[in-house]
This record gives sequence, structure tokens and C-alpha cells, in this order.
Amino acid sequence: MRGAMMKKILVVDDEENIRFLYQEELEEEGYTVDVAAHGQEALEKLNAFQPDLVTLDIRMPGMDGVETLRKIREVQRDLPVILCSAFGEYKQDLTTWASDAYVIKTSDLTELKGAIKTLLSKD
Amino acid sequence: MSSFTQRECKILGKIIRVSNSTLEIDDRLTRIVEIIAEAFSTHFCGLYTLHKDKNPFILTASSHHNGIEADSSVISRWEGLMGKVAQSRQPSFFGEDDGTGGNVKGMMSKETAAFSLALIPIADDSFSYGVLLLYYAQSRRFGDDEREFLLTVGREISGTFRNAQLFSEAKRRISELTSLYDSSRIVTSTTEWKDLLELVVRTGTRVLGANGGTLRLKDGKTQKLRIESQLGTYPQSLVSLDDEIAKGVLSTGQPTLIGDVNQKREGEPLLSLLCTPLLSRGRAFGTLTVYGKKGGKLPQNNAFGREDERLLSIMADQMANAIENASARLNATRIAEEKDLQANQLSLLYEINNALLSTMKFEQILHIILTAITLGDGMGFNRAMLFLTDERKNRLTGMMGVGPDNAQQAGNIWKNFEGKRDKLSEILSSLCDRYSPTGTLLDERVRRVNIPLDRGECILARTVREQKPFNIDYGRDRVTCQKDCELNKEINCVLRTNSEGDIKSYRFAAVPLWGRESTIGVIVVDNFYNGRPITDDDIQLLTMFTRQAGLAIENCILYKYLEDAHVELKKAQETLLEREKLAALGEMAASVAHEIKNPLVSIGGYTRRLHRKLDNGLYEKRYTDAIIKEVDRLEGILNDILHFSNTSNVVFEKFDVNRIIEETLTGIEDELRSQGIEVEKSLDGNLPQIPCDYQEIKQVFINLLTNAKDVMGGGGRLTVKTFPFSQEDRDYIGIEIRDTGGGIPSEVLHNIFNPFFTTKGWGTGLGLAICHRIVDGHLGAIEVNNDPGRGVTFTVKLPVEGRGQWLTSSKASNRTPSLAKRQRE
Repeated sequence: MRGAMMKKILVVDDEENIRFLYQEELEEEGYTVDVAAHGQEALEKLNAFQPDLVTLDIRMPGMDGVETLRKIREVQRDLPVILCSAFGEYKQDLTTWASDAYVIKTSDLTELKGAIKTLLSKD
Repeated sequence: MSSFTQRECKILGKIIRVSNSTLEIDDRLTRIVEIIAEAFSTHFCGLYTLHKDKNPFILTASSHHNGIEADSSVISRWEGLMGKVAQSRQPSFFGEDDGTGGNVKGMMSKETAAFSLALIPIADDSFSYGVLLLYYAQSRRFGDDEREFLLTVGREISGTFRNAQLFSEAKRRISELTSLYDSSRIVTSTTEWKDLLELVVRTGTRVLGANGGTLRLKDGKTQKLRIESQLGTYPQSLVSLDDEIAKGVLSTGQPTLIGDVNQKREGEPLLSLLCTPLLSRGRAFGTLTVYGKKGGKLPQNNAFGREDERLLSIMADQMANAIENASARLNATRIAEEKDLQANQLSLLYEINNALLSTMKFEQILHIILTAITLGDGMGFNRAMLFLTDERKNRLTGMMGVGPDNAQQAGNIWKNFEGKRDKLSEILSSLCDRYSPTGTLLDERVRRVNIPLDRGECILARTVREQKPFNIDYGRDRVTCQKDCELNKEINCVLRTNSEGDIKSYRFAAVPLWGRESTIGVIVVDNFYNGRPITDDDIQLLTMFTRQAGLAIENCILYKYLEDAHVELKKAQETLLEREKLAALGEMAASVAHEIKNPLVSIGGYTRRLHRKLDNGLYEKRYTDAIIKEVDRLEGILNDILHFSNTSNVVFEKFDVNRIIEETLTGIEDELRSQGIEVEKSLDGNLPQIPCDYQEIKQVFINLLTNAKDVMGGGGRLTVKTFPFSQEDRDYIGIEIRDTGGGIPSEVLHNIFNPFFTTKGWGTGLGLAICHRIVDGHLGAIEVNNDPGRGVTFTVKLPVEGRGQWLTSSKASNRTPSLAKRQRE
């Protein structure tokens, strides 16, 4: 199965359109993609989905991206996480340094795809 | 006692009638002598009066008969005889039965062998007046009755003398009283000081019957006598002696009487002098001298006597009072006048001050000051000029000149304000409203004047340096001016052409303008048109005024500074407000942008997907293409706004700037190529990495390169150059971005870094403002070198040891490398 070889990415974003866009785009790039609408769901899906990489929106209702990142690190220290933000609002927050990359959202996903590719090719 | 005969009674009656007549004493005596001569048929009858001084006997009256005349020169030869008679008051008879006739031989000019003589004393109980002499050129016998009768006649004549003396005494008393009355009139008169002094001398000389008189008073300052008034002809030979006598009288306080000043000089006429002190409370403050008494018929009467001395002293006492009172009154008047003047000056200054307080405008203050100096009701100078010092340049600069350009104009202005009884302050204000000095010849010339303060001889420079007024008369004072002196050139030029060639009489005054601490300038005044001399009083008043004026000017300047500072502060405040507003706007924009961002990402993202799925060449691809481009633009704007409103999201890390530039150029290379822009890169391979925020520095290059691309719509050359350099011991890297887009219009050049300023007609106008802010945040600088018509070069300078130094060095060692770092690895 092609799928067994495919890397799994968990896209976490509270906006459904973004989730769907990321999913479509990344699946087209050859990844297996699952989505979570909030931090809690993301944490739940860590075990069920076993992603190789997580894209995490920072600004989310309830548990935000930074908090979610912290919790992810508690269970999976080495899981690559890319923080995504409409703007670099948390850039100076030292906790965001715990992420592996920080990408500013644009409609052009080239930068995000590049970051994913870089992080996944390291293994 | 024998009774007189009828004839004797008749003679006596005649004598008594004559004696009691109103004739002059000399005439009466002559008549009496004639009566006696006739009655006694004498050959000679003479009346000799006793005189106190050198000639004891004077022939006062005589009668001649039969050709016998008395020779007055030989009177001295019978002095002994007559003196005896006068002293003893006993008559002497020399007749035929007396046997003494020969003893008096030679008495008459025509000597006769036989003669008779009767010497009758003219005396009363207390006084001997003289001797009556009856002479017969023959032997004659004097009977007892005759002797008795002659004695009676003698007594009657003595009565005549006494009466005459009493009369003259009475007359003298009257004249004394008259003189006292005259002097008392002087005392109470309110005549002028000079007139009074003259009146004193005139009264003194008149009462004393003198030819002339001199009044001297002690000068209050020098304590020396000074001649105050002089009347009559003054003998030149007297001058020095007269002064000496007056000095002596002043110091002793006692009168001096000299019977004949010329006593020791042969041939000189008798000149008598009398000097009396003018006393006030026992101390002499002056002297009154009279000289040259107008005598009677005899020269002996031309000398002043003790009587005169007494009379003059009495008068002097009275007149001394009068002079003292007048002097006091004069002083009082003077003081009152001074006070009056001072009051006038004060009210003048007050009025001018009021006018000065009415405005804070610099030009108007100067105008009021100079008008006040030139206005007739003010200080009344013809022209006034004002110069202020420029401390920075150490020069004196002409500020304003007020004064008519010619005499006719002067007359017109003055006429307009003559007789107006408005308050001076109102006149000043209205005058200053109606007449502006600007444009007058004088004003123009004054404004051209600019004199170095260290110029030695210049009166104006000296006025400032020495801080004292100068009152200059070109005719009197030696004024040396520099040849090239602007003042000389400007002001004197006017003089030469206008003053009808008489430069020598030109007078002007320069008075310093005092500020609180030092001289701030000079006011120059002159009386160019009416030539009135400038007095010390003028200078004093002007000085008082310039102190006030100086303060007013200084206040005005300070006020102006204050106002300027206020305006600047207000501007700064407005800018701050504007910035706050912008900040608030920015925050709002940021939150709006943030909300818009996600939908835009969706729109753009899906459109890109759609775009890719559409077959190439499909018509609909143009729609998606448009959507993508518009979304890109919107995202760009959003990024700008978010950047501008948010500066806190900066993270410094060491980056290779060359690389950031390469990435940025790659991002726009398609567009550059399609616009026909040639790119020339000159990136220094040894450029050190610098601490910076990758996103921010990239944003700077995006903005600068995009701008360059936009201004070269019709193609051109884009030059990008990097280089390291040092400045003030610090290492920097420089990034130069040059376009050939024609440059920036110079009138908007100063605006280009202002937010929301744009010449492009699109975009937010935040591009360069963001660049500026970012570079500032990196402690760098961004410079623009505009070459109008050709292009612009932007140079970004960033420090190698920048702000982020501590951040990069203190980074935790276990920190996960960022994406960008990994990208480089």
C-alpha cells in the first residue's frame, strides 16, 4: 500500500475551510492527513492517528496552539510541530521556541510545504 | 542889654526874612551878607564857614564894595585869627581905638595902611559854624551898640545855619526814609531775580548819589564772589582794588570806606568808594559797593562819609533780606520747575509705556518706541534709529528708522498732530497704525546697516561696548569713523544730500538700550531738520526711556521665543496625538486584518487549487489568476498593516543578509523580467552575519525592491550591492538598492518616510515607513540619495554588533534550531 509508506500529518485549526484546504493540499503532496478542530481533539488524535508531524494554529478558542504544543511535548517530545499563525503574534513568546518551525499563514502554501518537507526528510 | 534902634530893627527884620525864606542856604547867606555889607557900608563883607577837614574856613558868601576883593587863596593867612574867634566864640574888633590894625596887614589884595576889621563868631550854644568878617579900608571905630548888634546878627546867622542844617537833616531823613521805602519795596517786590539785583544796585547808587555800583554774591559752589549786577561807569583803575576790598568786606563782615582811592596819585580826580556787606544771620553772603559820589559844588563833597556808610548799611540790611528771600524763592521755583519737569517726564514715560504694553508684536514695539522719541509731544527728536546686537555674530544690525525723508514731510506729519489733546498713548497707537516706517528712505537705509561690534572707533559699537550714551557734535567732537562704515555710508549719505552741505553742524546722540543683563542695542537720535541742539537733559530723559524700551524689546523677544516654543510644542503634541491616533488605528486595523487573514488564506488557497486543476489555456484560468493576484495584493496590504502596528514580534538571530536578498529577489524575479528590468547584483561574499529579525529584514528588502520595480514600469536597471564598512569604530554592513526610475520629486522627498504617503497611486503608503521603523529597530539607518531625473539609491546600514546581540548569545543551548536556521544548514 502506498499509504503505509506515506507520512501522516495532523492539521489542527479551528477554521474548517483552512483545515480542508491544508488537507487537500497536503494530500496532494502525498501525505496522509487528518484534522482536528481544537487542541483537545488534537491531543486525542495523537494516539489514534500517530502523526509524523503536526501543524498547529496558534489562535484557537479554548486551548490555544501554544498550550496544545506544550501538552504534545509532554507525551511526544520528538514529534515535529509547525506553528501556524495569521501573524507572528507569539513569535517572541519563548514557549513557541519549543516548536520546530513557525510559519505565517498565507494563501500560498509553498513555505509551509517547504517546512514540512524539510522536517520530515530529517528522519 | 541895650534896645535896638529902629534902623537896627529894620536890618534885623530883613535878615530874619531872608533867613526864613525858602531860598537855597548859599543864596540866603549871600543875601544876608549883602544886607550886612550895605547896612554897615563895608568895603568887604565875607562869611567864612568852618570845615571839618583840611581847609578850616571856606568863603561861603561875600559882598564887595569899592573894588576890594578878598583873595581866597590868602584865607589861610588869617586862619589863626578866625580860628581863635570861632573857637572862643568871642568877637574880635580891630578899629582905631583898638590899636591892632597893623597886625592884619596883607589880608586884602589891595593893601592899605589903615583899615578896620570886625570878626563876629557865628555860633550857637553847641556849635560853631564860622566867622562873619566885616572889613573897612579905613580906620573906623566900632561902637558898643554896633558891636552888640553885630553879635545879634551873628546869632541870627547861626540860626540860619542851624535851620539850614536841620532842614538838610530833615531832607536827608526823608531821603533815608525814601531809600528805606525803596528798599522795602524791593523786599516785597516779586520782580525777577536779575531785575531785583539790578534794582538793589540802582537804589543803592541813587540814594548814595554814587556814579556807579556793583553787587557781588558768593557762589554756592565755589564759595567765591561773583559780580551779579553792575551799574554806571566803572573806572578801570579800580577793578583789582575793588575786588580785594569786596573780598575783605565779605570775610570781616564790616563795611569799608575809602575817601579817595586816588589820594596818593598826583593829578587823578578824587574817587571815593564804599563797600558794605550783605549779611544773613551775621554772615556775609555778598557785598554792595558804590563809588564816585556825585558831590555839590565843591570837590570836597565828592567823598563818602560816615553818614553814607551808615545809610548804605541800613539799606544793605534790608536788601540782604530781599536778596535772600528772592534767592530762596528762586530755588523754590527752580525745584518746583524741576519737579514739574520730572512729573511731565514721568507721565510721558508712563504714557509711552502704556502704548508699549498695548502690543507684543516686535515690529510694532519698535515702531512705538521710535515714534515716541520723534513725536513732538514725546521727546521731539527729528529722527530716531534703532539697532540691535546680534550676539552670535557679534554685530550690530539696523532694525528700524523713523523719521521723515524730508523737511516737508516732517512738517506735514507734525501738523497733523498739532493741537490734538488725546492721550499720548492713544496718539502713539493711532500714529503707529496709520504710518508704517517701512518703505521710507531712512528705514531702508537703517535696515541695511550691519556693523561689527569690535570695530574700535564706531560710536555705535562704543555705545554698546562702553554702555554709556554719546552726545556727538560733529563740529565740536572729533569723531573718527571707519571709511567703509555702513552707518557712515547709509546715514551720512542722507546727511550729505539733505543738509545743504553743512555737515559740520550735525549733531546726534547714541544711547544704549539696556536689557536685564546687558546692552541689547543702540538708539540713535538727531535733530536733522530743525537743528535743535541735544542737551544733557534730552540725553537723561532718553536714557530713562531707553531703559524701559530695552526691557520692552527684550520682553517682546522673549515672548516671541516663548510663542515659537509654544507653537513647536503644539506641533509636537499634534504629532503625538496623530501617532496615538495612528497607533489606535493600527491596532484596530491589526485586529481587523487578523480576522480577514484566515478567510483570505482560504480564498487564495482554494483559488490556487482551482487554478492548478484548470487546464492550461482554459478561458476560466484568467478568472482564477485575477483572484490569486488580488488576494496576494490584499495579503500584502494586510502584512503591511500588521507590521506597522506591531513591533513587538521581533526576534533577533544571526542571518546572512546576502541570502535574504537573494530570496527576496527570487520572489520577484518573474515580475522584474516581465517588466524588462535588468538586475545587477554585487553581493560581498565576506559579509559577516548580523543579528536581525529575518521576517523584518526580508520585509525591508521586499518593500525597497518592490518600490524599485514599481518605478521602473518601462524597464530599467536595478543595482543591488552589499558591502561591509566601519563607522565611528563600529562595524556595519551596507545594502545599496539603486533604480533608474527617474528619482523622487524634491518637494516630496522629505515625506517619503512618513506613513501613508505614497506617490504610486496604489498601496498603503506604509512601505518606506515600515522600512524606516524596522531599520531603526535594528539600530541601523536608511538613507536616500535622490538623483532627480535619473533615479534613487536607498542605502540600508545595519550594525554587525546590533541590538539582538545578547539575545543570540544567550540562547539556550538545547533550543531547537528554527526553520530558517535549518534551511541554511
